[in-house]
Amino acid sequence: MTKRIKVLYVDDDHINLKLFDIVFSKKFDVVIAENGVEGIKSLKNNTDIDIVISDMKMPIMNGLEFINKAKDMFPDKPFCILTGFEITNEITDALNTGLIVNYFKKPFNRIELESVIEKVR
Amino acid sequence: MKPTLHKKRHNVFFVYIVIILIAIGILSLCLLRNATSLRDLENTHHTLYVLGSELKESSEELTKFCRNYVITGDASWEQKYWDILNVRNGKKARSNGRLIALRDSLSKLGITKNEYQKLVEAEDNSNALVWTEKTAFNAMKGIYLDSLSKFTVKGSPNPILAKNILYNEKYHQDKANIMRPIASFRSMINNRFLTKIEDLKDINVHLVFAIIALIISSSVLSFYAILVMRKKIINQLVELRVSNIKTEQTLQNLKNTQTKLIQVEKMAALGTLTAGMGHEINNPLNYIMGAYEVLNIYFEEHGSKDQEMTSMSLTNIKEGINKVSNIVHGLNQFSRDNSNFDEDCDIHDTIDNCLLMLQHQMNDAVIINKLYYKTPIKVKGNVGKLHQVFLNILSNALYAIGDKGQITITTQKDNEQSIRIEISDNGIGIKKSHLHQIKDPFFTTKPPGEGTGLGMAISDTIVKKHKGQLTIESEEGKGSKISVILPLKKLNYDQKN
Repeated sequence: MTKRIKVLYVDDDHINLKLFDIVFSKKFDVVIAENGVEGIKSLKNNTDIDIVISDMKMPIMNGLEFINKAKDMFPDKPFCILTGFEITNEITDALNTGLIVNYFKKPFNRIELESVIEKVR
Repeated sequence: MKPTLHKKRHNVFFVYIVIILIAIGILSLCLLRNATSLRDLENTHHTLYVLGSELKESSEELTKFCRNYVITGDASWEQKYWDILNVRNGKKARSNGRLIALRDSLSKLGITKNEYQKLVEAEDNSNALVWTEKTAFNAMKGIYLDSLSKFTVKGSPNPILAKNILYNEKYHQDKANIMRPIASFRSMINNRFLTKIEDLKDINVHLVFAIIALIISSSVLSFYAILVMRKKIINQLVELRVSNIKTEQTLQNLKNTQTKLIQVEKMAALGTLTAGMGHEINNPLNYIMGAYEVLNIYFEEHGSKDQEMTSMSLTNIKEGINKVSNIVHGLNQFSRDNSNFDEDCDIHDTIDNCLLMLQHQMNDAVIINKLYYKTPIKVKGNVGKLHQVFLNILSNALYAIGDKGQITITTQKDNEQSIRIEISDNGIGIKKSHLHQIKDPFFTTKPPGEGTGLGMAISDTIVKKHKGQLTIESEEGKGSKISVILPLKKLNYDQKN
C-alpha cells in the first residue's frame, strides 16, 4: 500500500481547522497548526509532510511570511495559499517566483484542492 | 512678443510726431510774421509811391494853375496855386483834415538817406520853380524885382513877360529838374522794396514747402504708427484668444483631474471596504462549505432516511454558498485597488459579474438577452476598471428602460485584433442635443442626488486607457446602443494611473 499524502494546514480559525481535518482526513493525513510559528514547529516535527496549505491573514506572521520562512528551511516542499481575499499583487508575485505553487479561494473547492494535493505524489 | 520694445518704439514715434508738430507750429509762426511784414512792406511801398506821385502831381498842378492865371488873368487860379503849395508844405489841412508836410510824411515812412536827398532835391527844385512862378504872378500885377532880389519895383502889368517866364526853355528845364529826382526817388524806392519783397516771398515759398514736407512726413509717420499699433492690437487680440483657449483647456484638465481624483478616492475607499468585507464573508462561507462537505461524507457513509430531501438540501446549501461567493467576487472585481493593466480579463465573466451586482435593480419585466461569442474572450487589461465600465453601461441601460424593457448584450470578434461589445436597450434614449455631452464630466440629466455625471466620462477614459473605443448611438424615445471595442493583443499599456 502506498503511503498516504501528508498535508499541513495552517489557519488561525479553529472551525476551519476542524472542518478541513474532517473533510480531507478521508484521503490524506492532515496535520494542523493555528499560526506560522506552530506551522514551522509541525514541519520540523513531521519531516514527511508532503504539502503545506496556509491561510493568509493570521496573527504573528501572515501566510506568505510563514511560507517564506518555511521555504528557507524546506525548499523542496510545495506551499499553497487558501484565503478569503481576492488574489493580490503579493500573491501573484509569490506564484511567479515559485514561492507558492497554488492560490485557492475560500470557500474552498474540495475537488480542486484534492486534485492539486494528489499531484505531489 | 516683447512689450518693452514695442513701448519704446511707440514712444519714439510719439516724440517724432510731437517734434514735427512743434516744427510746423514754429514755421507757421514765421510764415505769418513774414506775411505780415510783406503786407506792411507792400503798404509802405504803395504809400511811398502815392506820395511820390503826389509830389509829381502837385508840381504839375502848380504849373497848370499858374499858367491858367497868366493866360486868363483870373485871380482864383492864383489862390488855388497857393492852396496846393500850402497843403504840400503842411501849412494847410488836407482833405482828410491832417496837417502835415509832404516831406515829413515821407521821412516818417522810413526812407534811406539817399532817397531822402533825392526828395529834398526835388522839393528844393520845386521851391526854386515856385520862385520863378511867383515872378510870373508879380509880372501880371506889375511888380518886379529890385537889385536886392526883392519885389519892390512897381510898374505896369506885363502878361507877355509872365507868359514868357512860364513857357520859356529855362522853365521847362527847371520843371525837368524837379521830375528827375522824383523819378530817381521812385526807382530807388522800387528797387529797395521790390528786392525786399522778392526776398520775403522767396523765404515764404521755402517756408510753405518746409511746412508741407513736415505735414506729409508727420502724416506718413502717423499712418505708420497706426499700422504698427493696429498690428499690435491684432497681436494682442490673437494672444487674448490663445490665452482664452489655454484657460479653457486648463479648466477642462482641472475638471478631468477632479473627476479622476473623486473616482480614485471613491474606488480606493470602496476597494478597501469590499476587500475586508469579502474576507469576512468568505471565511464563514468556508465554514459552511466545510460543513457541507462533512455532511456529504456523513450521508454517503451512513445514508439518510429521506435521501431526496437530504440531497436537495445539500445542493441548495452548495448553490447558496456559490451565489454569495460570486457576489463577493464580483464586488471585489469591481472595486479592486489595482493599477495593473496586464491582467487577463474574461469579458463574459465580467459582464456576468456586473449583471449579478445589478440583479436587485431588475424586476421580472426586465429581459436580458445575452448574445455572447461562442468561446470565452479574454483581453489584457485592468479587471476592476473594465468591471466599472460595463457596470456603468448596464446600470445606465437599466435606468433608461425603467420597470419594463429589454437589454441586449452582444459580443463578437471583429477580427483577430479586436472585440466588439454592444449593449443596447429599448429605453428612453438620449436627446440629440445631449449626445455630444454624454462623455463630459459632471454632465447628467438625472435629478440631483441620483447621478454624479461621472459615469460615462470615467468609462470613456478607462476604455481609452485600454487602447479601445467607446461610441454611443441613440434615438430619443427608441433606445441607445453603446459599443465598446477593445484590442485583443497585449499592447504597451501605460502603467501609470
